[in-house]
Amino acid sequence: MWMTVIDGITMAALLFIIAVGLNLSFALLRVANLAHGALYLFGAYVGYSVMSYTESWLLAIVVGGLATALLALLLEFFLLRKVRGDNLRETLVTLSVAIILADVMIVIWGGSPMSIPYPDLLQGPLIMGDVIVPKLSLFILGFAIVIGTLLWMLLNKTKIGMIIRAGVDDYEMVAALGTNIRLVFTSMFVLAGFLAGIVGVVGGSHLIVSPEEDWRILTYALLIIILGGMGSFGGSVVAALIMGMIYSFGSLYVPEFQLFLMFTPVALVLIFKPKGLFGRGLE
Amino acid sequence: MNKKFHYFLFTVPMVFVLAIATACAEDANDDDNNDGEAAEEEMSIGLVGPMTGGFADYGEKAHRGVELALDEVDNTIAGYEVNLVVEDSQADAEQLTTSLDSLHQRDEVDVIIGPSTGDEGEAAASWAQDHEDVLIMPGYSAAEDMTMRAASDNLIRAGWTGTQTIYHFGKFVHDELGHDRIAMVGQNYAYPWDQAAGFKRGFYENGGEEVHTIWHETDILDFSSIMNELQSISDDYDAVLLNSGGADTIAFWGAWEQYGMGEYYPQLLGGTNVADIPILEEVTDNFEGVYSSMHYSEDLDHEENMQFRENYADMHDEEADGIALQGYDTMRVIIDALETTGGDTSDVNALTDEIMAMEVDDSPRGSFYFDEYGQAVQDIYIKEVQMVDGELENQVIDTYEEVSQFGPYEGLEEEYMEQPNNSADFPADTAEEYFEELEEYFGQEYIDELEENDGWE
Repeated sequence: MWMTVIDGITMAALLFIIAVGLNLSFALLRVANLAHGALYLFGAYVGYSVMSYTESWLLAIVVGGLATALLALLLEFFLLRKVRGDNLRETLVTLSVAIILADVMIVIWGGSPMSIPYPDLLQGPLIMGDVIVPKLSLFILGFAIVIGTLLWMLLNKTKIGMIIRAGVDDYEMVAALGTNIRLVFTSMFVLAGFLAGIVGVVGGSHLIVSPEEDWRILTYALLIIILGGMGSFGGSVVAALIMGMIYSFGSLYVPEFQLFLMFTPVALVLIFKPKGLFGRGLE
Repeated sequence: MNKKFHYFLFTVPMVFVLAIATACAEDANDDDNNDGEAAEEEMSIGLVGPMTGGFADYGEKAHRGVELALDEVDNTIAGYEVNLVVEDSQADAEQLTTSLDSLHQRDEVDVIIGPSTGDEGEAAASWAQDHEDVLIMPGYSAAEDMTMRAASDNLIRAGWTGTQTIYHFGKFVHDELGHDRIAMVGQNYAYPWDQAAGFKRGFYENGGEEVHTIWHETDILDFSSIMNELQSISDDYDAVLLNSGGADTIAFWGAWEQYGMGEYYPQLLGGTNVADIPILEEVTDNFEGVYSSMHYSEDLDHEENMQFRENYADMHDEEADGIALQGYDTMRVIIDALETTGGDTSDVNALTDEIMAMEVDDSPRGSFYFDEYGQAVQDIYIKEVQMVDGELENQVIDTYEEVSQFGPYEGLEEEYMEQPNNSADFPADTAEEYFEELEEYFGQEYIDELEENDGWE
């Protein structure tokens, strides 16, 4: 029982860091960035290459994040800006990028699944009486808490955060007040890309790096955003916890219905509270 | 499942775009054909399989094997220059049928190599039944029904079936490793069901007691709860058999290490695709000691295999494996048959007759020939992962010779095919229930014989 709860929490941590970057860009740009999964996978592959050349996991995480941030910058600057304001075209652009990027990655890194090696320090389980937790899962939990806290502080305790929150509510007004809202948009999109990249490397160590993984990750991220509420930071935390628990208990007791169970709360929320549990804007 | 979400949102525009793209592609190809028609000495051979997407390896590697075989004959068969037409099926059964139609109608190809995955394989089998004028030789698909319940004269497989490679592994695990009770973790779809079925048959009929199956979806995100479950039942089972392949194998092994499962189960066993070379490159050194079984092993030390591996590595800059081998062998079988019939691809009957009568004795895997249903009869190797010069490698430790797709049921083919298709619940999880089923389909006589011989002869 305790093991299952802990599994659920660590799963929630992973799902949270996967979803929060997407949710961030969603809140401000109002674009469903369907390339988020591809960015995640790109970060993972870059991290894999860095890891095999330098053997440094930390460097792999940082470089994976930066490379993905650069890619996000190119995507935003050269493609998304051209179609700003037209939701369908924006979404189609990200979808095309996702598909193209997926095949480019197969050309570069091949189709075989891989796994990113991680430091000895984090290998193996931590045994506390009856409870056995992999050290890597504990690291991911800590990682999620740090990222969550930093983002929360950025949004709620800084002037940039204030502008972002104002931009979410009424970006025309913010622009009229003399803020370069375009620049804010771009930097948020790049930040979301950076997050996708570092999560890709961490996730690629915990799970696997393989083609198709991008769509899987995207699906989970979208589920959490829809459940928690688009643009809601707290909503992502709660939704990730709900999904983590459903996942963990579901796969233990009714593995056949696991995916069904994960989609059920999403369907219910869409029927009774279409904006999501906490959907309004960034808190 | 995973793509469902955006498919749902974008089906309409995507279908439109795809329709245009396909139309353009067809036009372009038509032009090519018209230009090339003047050259009489050309012969077209089709190749289909997943060339993009998550299963691209399975199509690409078969393709590279085919290229090697063609390179060895300077791309010329019986005086004709070979034009290899490659189609991407994206590991999708629907797309595969379209690809086969294109090859058949647009490119007027009579000989097709492919496809490579299970679902595709079943679609190809039913397509083959409707197109008797085309010879199909699968690239890596291992669904047993392609050459059993859905067999047709024009589909011949120089490869393997999910059950064929693992019957004797069940016997080996009981007789040689001394295990009686196995916990099996498998992906919940047709290929692992075939593997589970073959293993259970060999295991129970030679004295094994129970195979506890834990099925999971191929889409699962992590293996934590499966590890927890395996830990909680570790007192009841002797070993874990991982019945999967590809990405899930690597993810499973990652979780296995994270949870320190080696403490609970000293022995891990694998399905046919578990100890593949790409997987050995990704797992940790503790993977040493994993047993599995297959119709090919890279360490076979006869001349043909060493030559094959060397040439393949030279040409493609990667290690050859079972997928490349099947592309290579299949192409060579076709080359030999065409040389004999004078390079006429349109006479499919003459070609199939030629191939069915063939005894291949210079394949990198050893020798093989075809049974009356068109499936290769071949040696099955029991392999153990060992550390050789600091690298994990498969080493053959036992060989079962001339195993057919029906394994031990030679002479009982009809009875075997009378049974339901393999599934998550068939054959049963315990020896007791299994023997009840066995009596129903094969009769008490067969069981008596097993008891008399103390398992298979």
